[in-house]
Amino acid sequence: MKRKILKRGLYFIGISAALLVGTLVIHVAMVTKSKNDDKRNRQLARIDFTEQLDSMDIRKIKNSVLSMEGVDAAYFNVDDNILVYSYDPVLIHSDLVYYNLMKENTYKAERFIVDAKQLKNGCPVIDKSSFSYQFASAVQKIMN
Amino acid sequence: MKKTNIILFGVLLVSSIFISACADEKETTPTPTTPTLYEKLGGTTMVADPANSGQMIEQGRLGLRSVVDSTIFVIAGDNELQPYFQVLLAEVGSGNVTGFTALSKNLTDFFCVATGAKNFTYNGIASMVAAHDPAQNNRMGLKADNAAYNKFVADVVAGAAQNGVTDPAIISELGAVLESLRTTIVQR
Ligand code: HEM
Repeated sequence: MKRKILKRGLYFIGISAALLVGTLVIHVAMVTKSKNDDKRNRQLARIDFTEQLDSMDIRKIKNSVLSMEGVDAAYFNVDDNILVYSYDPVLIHSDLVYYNLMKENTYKAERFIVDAKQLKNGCPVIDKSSFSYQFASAVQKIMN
Repeated sequence: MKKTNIILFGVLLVSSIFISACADEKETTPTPTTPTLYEKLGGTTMVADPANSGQMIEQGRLGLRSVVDSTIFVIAGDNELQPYFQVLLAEVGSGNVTGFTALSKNLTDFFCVATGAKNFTYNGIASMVAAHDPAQNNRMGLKADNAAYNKFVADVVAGAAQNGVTDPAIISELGAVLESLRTTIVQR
């Protein structure tokens, strides 16, 4: 008799714990998930022009870059002759964008490259090895 | 056997109350008297997302995201501000979220919440002091001074203008949101 009660008690505790964890997961997912997530992954790149360009040149450069598959937006800073564009890194690489552009017209221009050292550590405030971070990001990955 | 069923039912009931308790919060929001900035930008009206075919997006969020993205482009091409935002142009390996994508999402969420959106949460660094202190956020290149702050505001206005947001009333309201954070963000 005692055994039976003990067994039932253990079942009860086990099931409750499982359901509570389940509830927690759903809760975290509901709280952290924003509705229509903008899922596109886009990389930014920049090309600095060192020659004087007129508005015709600028239009030509923008059109040329925008016509390449994978490039989806471009902005030209006319005061400093800087082109900024975004692209889908799955479809094209910034080296290729630069190469294609230069093939059309040899502009005096350089790619602006940032070394990725700072990126290595990510956010120092969040301890990425902590259980809570791993748990939260795992749940977010599943739901998003 | 029956008893276990009853117990199971009870546990399920309790868990479902936990879940619905969260859902209830949203329904009891009082009707606002004056429209929020988010509502002025289109609010929760669902429109097609031009950047993700087949998906819908709240018009308010779309407006803010467009301004945020344009502003990020302006900043990336701004020699005065680029040193602060090195992370934007650093290229990441395939499969990793780029600095641009991450910042676009965080800033859009932040401005959605700041302007009164109800359906989004901001999951970035909660403290704006910490987010703009290079010692606490290594994606922040260096501490911002007043000149950088002014340039930042100018770039936001340029980003808004690129999206046709030039209404002085909206710009000044946006300016007020930005200005309220100056002393928090300028740390040198
Ligand atoms: C009212 C003005 C501003 C607001 C509302 C604002 C808001 C934010 C937010 C929400 C983030 C994201 C934090 C996160 O990823 O967790 C951020 C990041 C950042 N902010 Fe600001 N910010 C403002 C002004 C400035 C200024 C003036 C500068 C520098 C001149 C600056 C530099 C940065 C940098 C470098 C980052 C990190 C970039 C990244 O993670 O990709 N911010 N800001």
